[in-house]
This record gives sequence, structure tokens and C-alpha cells, in this order.
Amino acid sequence: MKRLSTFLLTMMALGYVYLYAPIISLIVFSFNKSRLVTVWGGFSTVWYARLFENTQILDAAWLSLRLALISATVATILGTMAGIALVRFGPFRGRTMLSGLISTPLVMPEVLTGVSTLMLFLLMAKWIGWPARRGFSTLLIAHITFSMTYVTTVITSRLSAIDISIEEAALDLGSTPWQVLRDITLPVISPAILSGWLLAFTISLDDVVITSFTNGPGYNTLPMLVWAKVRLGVTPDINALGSLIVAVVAIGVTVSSVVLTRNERRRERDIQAALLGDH
Amino acid sequence: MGDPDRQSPTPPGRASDRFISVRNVAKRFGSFTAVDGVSLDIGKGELFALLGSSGCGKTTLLRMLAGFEQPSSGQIFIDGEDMAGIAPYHRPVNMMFQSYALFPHMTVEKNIGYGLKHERMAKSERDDRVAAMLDLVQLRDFARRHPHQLSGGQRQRVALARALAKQPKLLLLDEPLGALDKKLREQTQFEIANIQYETGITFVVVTHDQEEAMTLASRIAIMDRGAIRQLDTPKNVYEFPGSRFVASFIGSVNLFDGELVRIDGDFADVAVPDLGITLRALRRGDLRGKGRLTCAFRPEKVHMSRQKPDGMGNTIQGVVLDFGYFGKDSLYRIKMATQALVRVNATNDLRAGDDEIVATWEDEVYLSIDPKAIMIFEDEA
Amino acid sequence: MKPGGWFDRRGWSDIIVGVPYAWAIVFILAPICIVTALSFAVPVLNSPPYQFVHTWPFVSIASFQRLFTDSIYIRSFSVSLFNASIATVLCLLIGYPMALGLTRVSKAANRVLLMLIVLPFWTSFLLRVYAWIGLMGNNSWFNRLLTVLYNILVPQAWHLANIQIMYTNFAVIFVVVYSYLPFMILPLYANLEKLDRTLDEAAMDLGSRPYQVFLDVTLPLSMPGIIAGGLLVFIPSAGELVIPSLVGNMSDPMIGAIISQEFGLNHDWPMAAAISVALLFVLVVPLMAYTRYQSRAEAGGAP
Repeated sequence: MKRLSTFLLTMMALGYVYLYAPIISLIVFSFNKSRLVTVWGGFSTVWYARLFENTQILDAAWLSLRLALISATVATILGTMAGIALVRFGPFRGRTMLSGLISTPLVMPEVLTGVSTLMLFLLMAKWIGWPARRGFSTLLIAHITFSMTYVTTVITSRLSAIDISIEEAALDLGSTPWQVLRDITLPVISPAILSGWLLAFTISLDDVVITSFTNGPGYNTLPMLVWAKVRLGVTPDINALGSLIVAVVAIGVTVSSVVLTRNERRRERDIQAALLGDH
Repeated sequence: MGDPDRQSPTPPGRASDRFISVRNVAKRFGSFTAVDGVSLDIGKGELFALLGSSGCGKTTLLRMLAGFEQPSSGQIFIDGEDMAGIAPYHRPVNMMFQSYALFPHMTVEKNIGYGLKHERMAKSERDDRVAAMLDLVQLRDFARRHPHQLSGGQRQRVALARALAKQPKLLLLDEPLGALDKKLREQTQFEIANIQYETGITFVVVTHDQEEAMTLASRIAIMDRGAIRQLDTPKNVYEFPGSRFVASFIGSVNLFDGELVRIDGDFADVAVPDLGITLRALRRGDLRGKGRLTCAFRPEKVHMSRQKPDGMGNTIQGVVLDFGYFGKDSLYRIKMATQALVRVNATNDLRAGDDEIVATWEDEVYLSIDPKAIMIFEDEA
Repeated sequence: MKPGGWFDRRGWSDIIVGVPYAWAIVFILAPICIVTALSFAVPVLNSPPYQFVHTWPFVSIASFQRLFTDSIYIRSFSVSLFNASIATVLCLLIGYPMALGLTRVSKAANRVLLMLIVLPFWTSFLLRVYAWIGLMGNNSWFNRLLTVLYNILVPQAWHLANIQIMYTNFAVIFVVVYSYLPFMILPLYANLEKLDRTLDEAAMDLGSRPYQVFLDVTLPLSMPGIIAGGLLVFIPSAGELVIPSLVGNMSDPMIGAIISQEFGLNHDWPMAAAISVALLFVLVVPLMAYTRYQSRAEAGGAP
């Protein structure tokens, strides 16, 4: 029985209003002429222009982008290695500890991760003289660490859903383990690797708390800058920035889902046609 | 036709009760018609089977009886009461689901007692009923277990007990033996029939398995593309199929196109080019004139011998192409001079090694068919 | 056969395990050990600002003593746990019907609606908080709407010019619920979607009304989803640092702000470490117990 009761329908409608009302309000007021973010003063794109003149914001955005690109890539490599080790290497010594360590940052409040990582950096600086100053490298290490745990989760869940017999078939047909990894395992999990990278990228781009503990002076990421600005009060250029981010994300998600849907439809049609061919 | 039993429209005199009455029921999903104007009557205490391949509409009909689907048109009466608009939870009908649908978070006891929970019933009475059901399906020792701690056969019995606990007027069983292995099916088959007999509740079984339908049911409705193609006792459905479709759906059959040559009293002579002879068959009551038709006979009704049998009509000669040995019998494929193949079942009633009857590859054999065993259909494809 | 094991060549398979392992030990395990160790040190005016006791038993529990006696810590712990609990319950009340509804819509609608749940994830967390700041301010259209509605409902004597939402505990809960709602909906949906719908039909067939089917079948079977979603909301909201700093009442801080303060402003590393260890115990230990119970239940519950 696939029936949607009035109650569920109402609750869903209200839920989506709750989720989207502030975002829509944010976009609307980004076109507000008035300096007051909450009072309508006529249509204008002045805040967008202002945004692109603000070198502070542009610098921060560039730093965030570089950080996210590099940390997501390294985290994806490390996370994929850890995922393959956890799912496909059988019960090796220390496996439980590795899976426990990897899941720790997922279940710890960010403030704890931030404080403990900072203490580590400070003590390392004292004991081995590195990192002398906190900056891009410390940010990178912190971002790689928490992004890696998300990537590992994505990879392990995908890999454990894949029938190991396809890898065994390749071994049976004469491939060495290294060839199996290269020809079978990695291509099969490549969608998971891609989504792991995207997840790592967005998480890094969005992080505030851990960044706030591990960055040094002069290394303000975009979220840090926004946090500082918002603490001082709301300004319309943040509205413009937010609207831009929403627009980019919405376009990206829509395009990718259209492509995915089309691929899936084609696949379904192929399956249908193949099944009909049986008769 | 020859069998008097076949002529009576209501075998064992039960359907006349009309305890359950389905009147011209149709169900459409968008442009697709799942059930197309089905009418049938089921008597009180009957064990009735709906048999058909997947997509034939049998499950939709069952779900309409349970109340999960509403008919697009037509009516369903249970014990004289029109079921239109009555929700599943108000119907005197319970169902044993194909997947059993046991509640995984409840013990066997709780599962069986669940249907009684929302009835106003004293706790002691409820406990007694659950205990009686546990006895009925011989699961007394398993009352406190959870479904995942039971074997497939035990789960099946819990599902049956749960559906029976409310003492419904009608019990629906959706592929009741489908999930069991072959050995267990046989045993469970008899158990279900016994329980049905003991409780006297009307059972409607839906199945795609003809063996299941034949052994369980007192009457079978064969469904195809939303309609009932034949409704009769298992024996009549097998021995006297009403159409080429039913003949080939139930059991295995040799089918040949033929042409009516003449009618001779109770017999009809049909020229069968593929076999190279004219077969004499028992005449169907309504067979008239000339025309193309289908001749059919079942593999086990063919007599096979290596010597030419004396004085028997309908005899054809062929060569053993190949055969499969099944232990109790063997299935032969015999190639005719015309290249047509005839399938023949031969019972291995002698010890193997004793090659009195057992034919082997390339042997020349004679096949003879009793005219009474030949079925003719006018619905030639 | 048990998955795994095909990949047993020595040498570079050690590298595949070794590199992430080493990374995890240095940057995940070591910080936790350091924090735990520092929580038993004493603060000094030095760099780094801590010292271990040189006499037996070499540990000081002074920080933990302060944690349980100083009202500021007790207060902030209780504010954090209270806010997180209320937020979790609210997320459940809003998220459950939404997740259930998502399993009952057509496939095409489901795809779009699910995407709309995930979409805010990909936008900036800060901007979602920021959007609410705009709405909750005393002069915003939203605040005015609420004020008007309130004034209609209450007698004239209680009328307000506007409702103070910003810089209250209520604002923190409200924004936390907003930010973490998808974390509740997604695991719940994943759980509800897997439930066998024939169980609903079986219950209905046995005489249960739809609401009884919900209480007897759907709700108990969705418990793992409720717990998973609840933890995903409860843990980060208990340690939340950003939201209270933007919309909360700073005179009544949550525990995240206290940790950050002890560490950054007061340079009391041992105190910050002790609070961290305590928070870890309160949040993560129950989680681990639950995961253990869950995996054991799964091992036993496999058909």
C-alpha cells in the first residue's frame, strides 16, 4: 500500500519550508539595495560587485580552494588505501585498532579534534622543532586527517558491497594481486573514490572549528573570515557570497543528477531489452 | 465426454454454498488490466487453489480478497457480506504471506498472539488460543524464540499459526511452500491439508507450482492473463484439460497439429501429418464437421515396445533419439520418420540391467496410444 | 567464504596498510593520548604551560576536581547536554515524519525530495547559520511575523514590540535543529526504506489500524535508525562551538566555548584537556557501548 497520509504530507511540506525558507530569504536579500539585511530597499546587484572588489574575501576563497583541493586528494589516496586494507586484506594484526582510529574523528565533537590536534602541533614544535609556525602545512595535515576518515567510510561501505568473487576470478585467470588491484578493484570502486573525494573537498571547504584551532596568523580560510565577519554582525555582501555558493552547488548537483538519471534510465532500458531478448 | 465426473460443474457439491463469491471482478492499474472479469464461487471449508504463472493476476485477486487492493469493478462477498470498502483490518480474512512476514522483533508467541491483541479478549483466553495454535503446528518448545532462530519450515508454521489464530472465515495462502526445499514441501503439503481439515476453515492457496496446487486443493482455478481458463478438480484439469493452453500448462504433453478426417460414432479420426498417420481419438461432445485442430497426448499415456504390438490402433514406429533416466521412470525422445519428436515416459518397473523393456539409443520402437488418452482441441494456435 | 584475504603479497601490501596506519597513529591516536596525559598535569606559567608532578603518583587530579566542583563547568556541561537533548528530540519529531513520507512517495518525487535534503550539506554550514541570523533579528520579516502571531494569541497586556530570539538558548537549539536535521533524516530514511512493507500488511491483515501498525511494527523496527540519527545529532550538537558563538547567550556558554577559552585565553592546558576527556567519556563511551551491542545483536540476529 503506497499511500501518503495527509499528516505525513503536511509534515513534509512544513519540513521543506523550514529547510529552505532561510536559504531563499538569504538569496532574496542578497539583491537588496539597502545596507540593512532585513529591510527591503529595492533591487540591486551592488553587493555582488562589492564582493569581487573585496581582496580579503578573494584571498580567503583562494586559500580555501587550494587547501580543499590538496587535502581532498591526499585524503582520498590515504582513505582508499585504508579502505582496501580494512575490507580486502583479511584479519591482519592491528586491523581492529585501525578501524577504531579511523572512525574516531567521525564520532568526536570537532572541538575535541581541534584542541587535541593543536596540542600535538605545539608539542611537536617544542620537541622536534616542527611545525615552527602554524600555517598552510598544519591546516593541510588537520584537513587531511578528518577528510580521510570520511573517505575511508565511503570506500569500505562500497567495497564490502562488491562481490569478492570478481577479484578471485581475476586471480584465477592468472592476474597477480597488483594487477587485480589495478584492473579490477580500483575501476570497480572508482565511483566511490570520486564521491569520497567530493565529500572530502566539501568538508574541507566548509570546516570552521578544526581550522580555527590549527591555522596560524595570516591563514584565514573563507569560513574563518565569514565567521569573523558574522560575529561582528550581518552584512549584505555575505548574503551575496552565500547566494553564489548556493547557486554553484545547486547547478553542480542538478547537472550531476541529470547525468546520473539519464545513465540510469539507459541502463534500465538496456536491462529491459536484454531480458526481453531471453524470450 | 466419457468421464461422468467431469460433466458435473460443481465437484464435491461444495461451490453451491457460495461461501465466498467473486462476481465479475476486474482490477486495472493504469492501462494494465491485472484481473479481467473473474467470477468464481468457493464453498465453506474448501481448499481452493489459484494456479498460474507470474503476472497472471492470481496474486492481485488474492490481495483483493484480503482487502489490500480494491476491485476496479465487480463485487466480492464473503459469507454473504459485500466486502466493498471494508479495510483489511476489518475483514474476517487472514493471510499467510509468501515471505511469511513474521515480525522480527517479536517472539513466536507474540507473533501468533498479535492478531488477538487488538481484539477485546481476556488475557487467559488469548494465552489459551496461542497455546492451542502452538500445539497445532507443533512449536510448543519454540514459543520464546525469535523468527531468526527458526528454520524455514518452522517459520512457515509460525506464519500459518499466526494467520489461523484469529479463526478467520477465510485463510489466504500466498505460495505457502515456495520457500521450502523439496523434501520439506512434501511433508508440509500434507500438514497444511490436515490442518485445513481439522479447523474446517476455507483455504485459498495461490501458487505457480502445479504440483502444489494438485496435491493441496480440492479444486483448481487456472489463471492466465487476468482470466480463469479452467476451474475443476485436479484430476479433471489434468486428464480433461479444456484447452490447448491448459493441457500444456499442466504437466507435460505432446502436441501435434492435425485435421479432422471423419467422425465415427464416439470416435474421431484426425490426420496428423507430423506423425504420418491418422490418429483415432475419443470424440469431444461438441466436435462437429471438419477442420484444423490440435491433438495432444501425455508422455506417460504412450505405450512403448520393441515388438510391434498386436491389434492395437494408433501405432507409430520411431527410433530412440535420446533418453533421460530419472530412477523411477525414464523420459525418451523418439524420432519419427517425419523427423517429428514424441516424448514418452516409461516406468522403470523392472530392475535395471534387465533389458526386457528398456530401450537404448538407436533402438527401433513402436509407440501405441489408447484413443481414450488422446485429447483434441479446436483452439489450434 | 569470508571476504578478504586475496591480497596477501608482502612488501607493497604493507605500504597500503602502513601509510594510513602511520598517519592515523600520529595524527589521531597521539593527540588523544596527549590530551589524556595532559589532563593529569598541572598548569604552570611556562611554555608549554603545563608540568607533570614529580612525586608519586606522578599524576594530578586537580583539574578533574575543579571540573566537578566549579559551578561554571557543571553549568556549561548541563547546558550543553540539555540543548543537545532538546535538539535531538526536536530533530526526531520533525525528521521522522519526513523520513517516513520519503518512503511513501513515487520514485521520481523521492529522487528530487531526497536531493533537497542532501543539498544543504553541500552548501556552507556557516551560511545556513548566517541565514537564520538574518531571520531571527528583531527587525526581520520573520520576527515580525512571529510577533504579530503572538500578539494575536495573547491578551493585550502581554503584547510585545518584538520577540527576542537572538542571543538566547532557544536560538541555539533552533539553529542546531536546522543544521543537523539532515543527519537525522538520512539514517532514518535509510532504515525505514529497508523495512519490509509486507510486515505492515501482515499487521493490518491481523486487525491493526494504521496507527497501531505504526506503533507495533514500524516504530520498534526503526529503532536502529532512530538511535543512529540521534547520535549523529546529539554528539556534534553537545560539542557545538560555532552556533552558540553566533546566536547564543555568551553569559551562559556551552562546553565547546569553555574548552576553547581554557585553552586559548587562560592557557590552562590541563583544564582544557580534563574537560575534553570528560566530554569524550560522556559522548563517545555510550556510543561505543551501543556499537558493540549493535554488532553483537547483528551477529545474533542474522537469519
